[in-house]
Amino acid sequence: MAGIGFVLEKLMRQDDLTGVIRGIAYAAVIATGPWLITVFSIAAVTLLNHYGTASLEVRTFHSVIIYNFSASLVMTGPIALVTTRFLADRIFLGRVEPVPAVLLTGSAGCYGLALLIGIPFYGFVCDLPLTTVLAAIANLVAICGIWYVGVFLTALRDYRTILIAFVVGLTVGAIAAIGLSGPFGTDGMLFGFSLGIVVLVFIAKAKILAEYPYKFVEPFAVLPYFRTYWPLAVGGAVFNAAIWIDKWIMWFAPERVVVGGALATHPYYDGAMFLAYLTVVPSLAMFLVSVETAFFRVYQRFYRAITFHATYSEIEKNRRRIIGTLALSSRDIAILQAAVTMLALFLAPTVIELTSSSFQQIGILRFGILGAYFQAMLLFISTLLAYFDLRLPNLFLQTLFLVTNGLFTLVCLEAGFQYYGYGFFAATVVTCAVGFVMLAHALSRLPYLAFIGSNPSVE
Amino acid sequence: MTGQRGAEAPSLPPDATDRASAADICLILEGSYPFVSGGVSSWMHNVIQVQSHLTFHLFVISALPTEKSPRYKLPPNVTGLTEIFVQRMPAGAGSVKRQRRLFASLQEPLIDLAESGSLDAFASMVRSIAPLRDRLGQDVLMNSEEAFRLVVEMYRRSLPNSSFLNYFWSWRSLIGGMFACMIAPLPQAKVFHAISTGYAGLVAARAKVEHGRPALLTEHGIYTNERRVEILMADWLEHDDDEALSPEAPGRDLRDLWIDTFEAYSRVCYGAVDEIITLYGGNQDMQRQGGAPPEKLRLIPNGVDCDRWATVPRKPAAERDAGRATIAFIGRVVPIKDVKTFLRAMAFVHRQLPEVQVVIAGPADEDPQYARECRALAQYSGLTEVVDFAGPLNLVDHMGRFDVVVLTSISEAQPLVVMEAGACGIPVVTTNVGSCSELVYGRPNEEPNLGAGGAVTPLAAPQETGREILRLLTDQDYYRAAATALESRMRTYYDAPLVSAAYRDTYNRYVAVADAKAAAAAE
Repeated sequence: MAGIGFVLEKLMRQDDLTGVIRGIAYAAVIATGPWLITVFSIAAVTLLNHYGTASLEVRTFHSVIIYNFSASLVMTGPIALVTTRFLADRIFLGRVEPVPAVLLTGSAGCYGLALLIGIPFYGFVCDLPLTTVLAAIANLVAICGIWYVGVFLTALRDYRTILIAFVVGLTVGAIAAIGLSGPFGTDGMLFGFSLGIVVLVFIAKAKILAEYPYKFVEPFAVLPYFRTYWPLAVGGAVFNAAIWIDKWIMWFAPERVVVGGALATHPYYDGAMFLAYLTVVPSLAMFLVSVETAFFRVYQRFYRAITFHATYSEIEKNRRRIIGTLALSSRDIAILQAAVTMLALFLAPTVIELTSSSFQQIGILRFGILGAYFQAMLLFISTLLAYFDLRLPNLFLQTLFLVTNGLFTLVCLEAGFQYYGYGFFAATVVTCAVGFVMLAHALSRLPYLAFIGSNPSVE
Repeated sequence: MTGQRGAEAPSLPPDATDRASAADICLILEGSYPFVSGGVSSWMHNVIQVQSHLTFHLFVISALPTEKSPRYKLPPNVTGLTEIFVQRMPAGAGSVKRQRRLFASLQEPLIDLAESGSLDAFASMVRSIAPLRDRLGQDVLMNSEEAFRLVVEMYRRSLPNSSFLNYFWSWRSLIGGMFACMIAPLPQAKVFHAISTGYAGLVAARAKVEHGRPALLTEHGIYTNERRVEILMADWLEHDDDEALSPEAPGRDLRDLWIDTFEAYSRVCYGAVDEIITLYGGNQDMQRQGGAPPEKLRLIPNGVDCDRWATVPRKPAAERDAGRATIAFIGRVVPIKDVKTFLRAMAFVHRQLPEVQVVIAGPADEDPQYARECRALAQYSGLTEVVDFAGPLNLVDHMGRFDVVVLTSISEAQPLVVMEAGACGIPVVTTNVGSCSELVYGRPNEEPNLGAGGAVTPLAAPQETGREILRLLTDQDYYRAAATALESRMRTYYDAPLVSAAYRDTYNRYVAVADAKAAAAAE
């Protein structure tokens, strides 16, 4: 008998279609979580640091914290995002034995990276007392630990532990930092704050290890993921660098302040920006909730219907449901955020006054508030792109933000003080517009993406 | 270069795997020779060896690339081998110019082709693809958004209420396989000869419509029937059973899509080739039903080496004793051979002729459960002492001691044992399957009719089979007439040299046509 009978057999590999949704269901938390923490921490530290009135010790502490947050996010971004994907896959498959080993080796990797960058920078580039150098390096290591354990807690979907760990950890940190600031100055504040973070990380690790009581097996199981998911790794660094690049550039402005020999910051710019970021916190929270609830329902329904042999018109109907849900929640968020942003713009002078900031910052603050609005929208768009597993388009969008934010800020730096903040604002508007078009395009061809574009079964 | 392809004297691009010059015959083989052994493959190997004056290029169609080695030592007149994979075509370029227009020009012909097997539609698709062939592959034809829109459009027009997931994968297999056949570089050859319809048939059709080469088809089994059986048994299509949900839609489902598509592919091949060859008349009925133009149909049976089998020593007629005759069943002990009916027939014969001997010559290890059941049945029927489960035997040594050869199969094409028994002068009793009736009674147009070489009985009819065996054993004149009739039928119509000559003549004729065309074009 001639003919290819076996063609018929190996056809139905549709199981992999569900794989699309397994790895990315944490995108919202992963994207918004660290940002929220950073905004809160730095805004809090900034409020301590009323420029001009603050002592050199506080200013040094403030600068080290800002440097450590921005460096740690960029450094650990790749490991964090790739590990997220790895954990999601393993949890889905029920093969979680390597989790404790990966937690330990991954932490070690993050800490190693922190030392690799922290030691030469604080030890040789900066001009700080040895105790401060050690405190700064320890702090950097501790902060890197947060982002890494955060990945595991998110994958566990254990939001209660996350909350407890953060409240306990940051309370301990605040009390210890303030308590130790008297006798030990900058070093005391840094060690105190680090202590809080260490408590936070240990609560998290204890919870993770209790959840996964396995022996030390396959410690490098995550490594192959870097090859497959390299856009995630690159995206992890680019995403964080894009958020920070305008600050880094502004640290070269004429008004910059340098402490410890090399720790340049721009207190007017940084301070205004972190105040501005506080205005999007309500939207971020609302977005997080709506993605985890209403959106996830229609999203899951779309993919499940396909695997349960829906007709094309049902698939199309489910696609329109996703769009409908997104339209509804983005309308709610847009209205809320517009209200908050308008209010903040209007109240900017009052805010400046209340926080004892300089009135020269009003312009920056207003651009910052508008920019934060669009950056939040951009974050939503990028999260949704991640849900549809559009890794390369997402990487493109992040890179676009990095480039425009850097370029426009550079131009505004040249243009002079009254343009400060405008570059950041313009970059968020441009990137957001491009992102919106990309998202709309993706939503219009969702079935194509599900069946071919993002389907690992298709060769 | 691409412009030349559609011209009158096409120059085929040299295939990377083929460094030899143009072969005389390109054999298009799907799932058989030389990587899969079996009846068709053995036949193919023999044809190539016998036609030693011609060179052959093997165009092998597989599903996916796998590690494999030829099961046959390729004869020296095989000058090249090309393998293509219908489930994994080359990636090709990421996009091509005027991609939308390409798909627009493919859509209607493709729908027409899938529905009706229109050769014009096929030719139109070949023309659309030809100028872009070097750049087309998986990325454009299967994975582009235009391709997905095409899937959705075809789904909407044919099976809008079925599982889109199943349709999608079915489309990728069925239509993707055809695309793979359409973009594969064809080797240089004068004549193209497909050994089945299906994808092999599409390649032959392409050689004909695209390059004007003579194309032949030999079908051993009817491809669409074989696929139909597989599809009806494929349980992965079960999901789609929406009958309960759609009482108004009278059940066209994905199985029908598969069957219809394969039928359409066969029809394209039937329409394109110059000759449609098969083994026996029964197949030709099915080919006609499948849309084959009657004027192209031709019979070339498998051959049997009569001279060789004639030398097998027989029991002298005088020693033949009905009471102690040996009845042989030659074949594997498997359900499709229906050994149980044979045993029941033997029980019937044994009651009349208690000293009869029975040999079952064939391997019993393929379906041990069935073989056990057969032994148990022999025991219950009181045949333990009578039946010898002999295992595989060298027939040249053993055929001579058999008095009647019996076949109770429920499916056969052109069973070799009947022909070998006939060549030895042994009458047969067979079920009415495949070409058995033609072998035993002669084709309807046999002139003069050589007479019955035994008897043909209905399926699963042990009494009839038994009665016919008894008649042969007990009526000496009838036995002699049957033996003579079958032997002379084999020698007249099925002798191996005759069959070889039929293929030689056919090949020579079409090679000459191709040469004449090339010469005319060169002037």
